[in-house]
Amino acid sequence: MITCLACRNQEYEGELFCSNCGARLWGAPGETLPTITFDTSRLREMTRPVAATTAPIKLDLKPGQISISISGTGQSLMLEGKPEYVIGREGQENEMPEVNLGPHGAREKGVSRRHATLRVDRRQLLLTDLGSSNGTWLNGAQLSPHEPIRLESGDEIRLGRLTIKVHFNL
Amino acid sequence: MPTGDLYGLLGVPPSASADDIRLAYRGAARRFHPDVNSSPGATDEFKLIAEAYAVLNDPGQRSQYDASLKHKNAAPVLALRSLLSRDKVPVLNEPQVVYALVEVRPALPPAELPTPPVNLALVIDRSTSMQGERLDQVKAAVAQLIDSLRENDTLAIVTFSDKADVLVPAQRTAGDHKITAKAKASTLHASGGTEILRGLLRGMMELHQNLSPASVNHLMLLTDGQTYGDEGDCLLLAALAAVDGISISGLGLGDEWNDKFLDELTAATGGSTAFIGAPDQLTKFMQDKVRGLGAAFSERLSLRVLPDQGVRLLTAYKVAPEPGPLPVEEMPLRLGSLPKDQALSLVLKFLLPPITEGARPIARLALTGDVLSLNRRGERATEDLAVTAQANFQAAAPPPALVDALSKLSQYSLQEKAWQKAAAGDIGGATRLLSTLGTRLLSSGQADLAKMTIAEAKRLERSHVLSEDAKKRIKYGTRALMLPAPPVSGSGRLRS
Repeated sequence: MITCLACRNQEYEGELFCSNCGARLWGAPGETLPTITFDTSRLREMTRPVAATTAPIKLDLKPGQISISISGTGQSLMLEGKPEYVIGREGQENEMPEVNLGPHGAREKGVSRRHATLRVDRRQLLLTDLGSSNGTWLNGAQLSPHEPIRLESGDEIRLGRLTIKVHFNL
Repeated sequence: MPTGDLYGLLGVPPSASADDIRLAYRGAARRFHPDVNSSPGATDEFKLIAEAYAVLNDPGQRSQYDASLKHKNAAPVLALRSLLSRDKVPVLNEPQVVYALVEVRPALPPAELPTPPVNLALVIDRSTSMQGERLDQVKAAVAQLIDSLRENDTLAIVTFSDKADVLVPAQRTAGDHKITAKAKASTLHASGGTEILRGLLRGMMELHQNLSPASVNHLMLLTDGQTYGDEGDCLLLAALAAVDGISISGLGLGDEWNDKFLDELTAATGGSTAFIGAPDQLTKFMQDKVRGLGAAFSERLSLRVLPDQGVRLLTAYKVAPEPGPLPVEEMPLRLGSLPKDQALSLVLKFLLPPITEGARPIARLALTGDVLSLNRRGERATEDLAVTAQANFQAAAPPPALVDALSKLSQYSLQEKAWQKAAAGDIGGATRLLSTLGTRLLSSGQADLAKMTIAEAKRLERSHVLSEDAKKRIKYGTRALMLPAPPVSGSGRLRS
C-alpha cells in the first residue's frame, strides 16, 4: 500500500491519484508535495503539464538568459535583462512586443499581437496567456487566460499554431 | 473455415513462423483454459484460440486463409490500442493497481463512406411537470430534429405519462411525412405522472418495425422526472435492447430526474445520458446526437475484457466521445458507436495479485463491432495487456495521456464520493470532498465549475440538504471535462 502524503489515505501501489482528496500520488522524490490548502499558485504548480521526454538540449546559457527557439526553423531569440517580456507580433502603430514573432510567421499561425507574457519572478519563469484569440498551450495542455504558470527549461509552448521551446538559466 | 483475425487471437504477427505459432498457441491456450481462468468468456476465447490454431497450424489452410486476407473486404477495419500506467511493475507480495487507457479507431483512412440509415424512436415524457416552457422547447427541438433527418431515416414519436401513446408511428421521413410529423408533434400536451417503462416499451415496439442490422437503431428518451417502481423492469428492457442492437440515450431536463437510473439504463446499451440544464440547450443536444448517429464509423461496439488468472477488472470508464461509467459486472462492456473523426477511449483499472519477477499477461481485450457502411458485421480486434515485474523496480512517470485522463476521472470520482457521503448522512465528509474538488477544479483552470462546487460545499454545510440541481451540474460538468478540448480552427488537435 502507499500513503497519500496530503491526507494519509491508504491506496494500492500503482494508484495515481488519491481517491480521498484527489492529490497526485506519483512523482520524483523531493518534489513539492500536493497540499489541500487553498493556495492557487501552489495548486497550479501541481497540475503543471509535463514536457514530453526528449533528449535534453545543451545550451550554454549565462545566468539570467532566456532562449526561445522557434520549432521547425532552427532559429532562436535570446532574452536578457528585463523582468517581463510580452510575446506577440508587431501591431499597426509601432507597437512592438519584446518577443516579436512576426518574422516567424506569427500572423499566419494565429499568434495575437499581445499573446502571452514571460515574467521573471526571482529564479522562476512564469508564462501567462493574455486572453489571446487562439490560446496558449504548455506541453500540450491549454492554459486558462490570465493565470500564470511556472515554466521549466525545455518546456514547449504553443501560441495559436506556432510552437516554441524555452530554455533558461535563472 | 473460421474467419476474422486469427493471428490476433494467438497474439502473433502474420509473418510468424510455424514454431512461433505453436508457442503462441500454447501460451494463449494456457491463459484461457477453463481449468485456469474462470472469468466469463474465457472458455469461448479458448475455443476461438483452438480454432485459429487449427487453421494456422495446417500449411494448406494457413495459405488459404492468408490469401483470403489479401481480399479487400478482409482487411481489419477496427484498430485497438492501449497504453498502461506502468508496463514495468514492482515485484510485490501485495496487490497493486495498473491502469490501461484503451483507444478504438477506424483502421481505414476516413474515406467518403456512405452513411447508414438511422432508425430512431423519440420517447417523450409528457407528464404534468413538463408543462410550459419545457414542453414548448421540446416541440421546437423535435421540429428541428425532424427537419434534419434524411430520406432513408425512419422516425417514430412516442409520448408517455402514466400511459404511452404513439404520436407518430414509425415511418420514413421523406417529404410530406416530415410535415405531418411536425404537425403532430406540435399537438403535444402535458398531463399525468411519469412511468418510463411504458414509454420505453412502446418506443422499442416502434423501433422493431424497421429494426435492421444494416441501420443505426436508436431510442432517445426525454424526461424531467423520476419513474416510480419500474426501474428494474426498465433496466431489464435496456439489456434486451442491447442484444437487439438498439442503443438508448437519455436527455434529462431540469433537476428532478434520476441521474443514477438514467446513467445505468443508457450505459447498459452503450448509450449515454446528458443533462439539459436550460431548456434552450435541448435543440442543440438533440441535433448533435442525431448527427452523431448518422456519422458513426462503427456501431454496436462491445469490448470483452478477459483478465488473466488472479487479475481483477475493478472499474471501467468511457472517456470519449461520450464520457460515463461502464458497469463491469456485465460483460461485454457496451461502448456504443465510434465516430469517423474521433477516437473512442476508455480507462480500465486492474488489480493485480501479488506478483513475482518476470513478464506476465494481465488481460486480453476483445473488441467486436459492426461497420455498417462497409457491410461488415461482427468485426473483431484483439489486444493483449502485459507487464514485466522487476525486483529492482524504478518508478517512472506515467504516460501524460493517461495522467490527463485519470486526473479528470479523479475529479469526477471525488464528486461521486461526495454525493454518496451526503446520502449516507455524512455531511461533514461530503462538504470536505466538495471543497477539495473545488480547489482541484480551480487549479485545473475550471473557474466556473470550481465556484459552483465551492458554493455547493458551503450551502451543504449550512443547510445539510443537497441541491439536486447543483449535484447534476457538478456531476455532468466534471464528466464533460474528460472530452478533449476543441481544436484551434485550422489546426489539428495537439495531444500526445
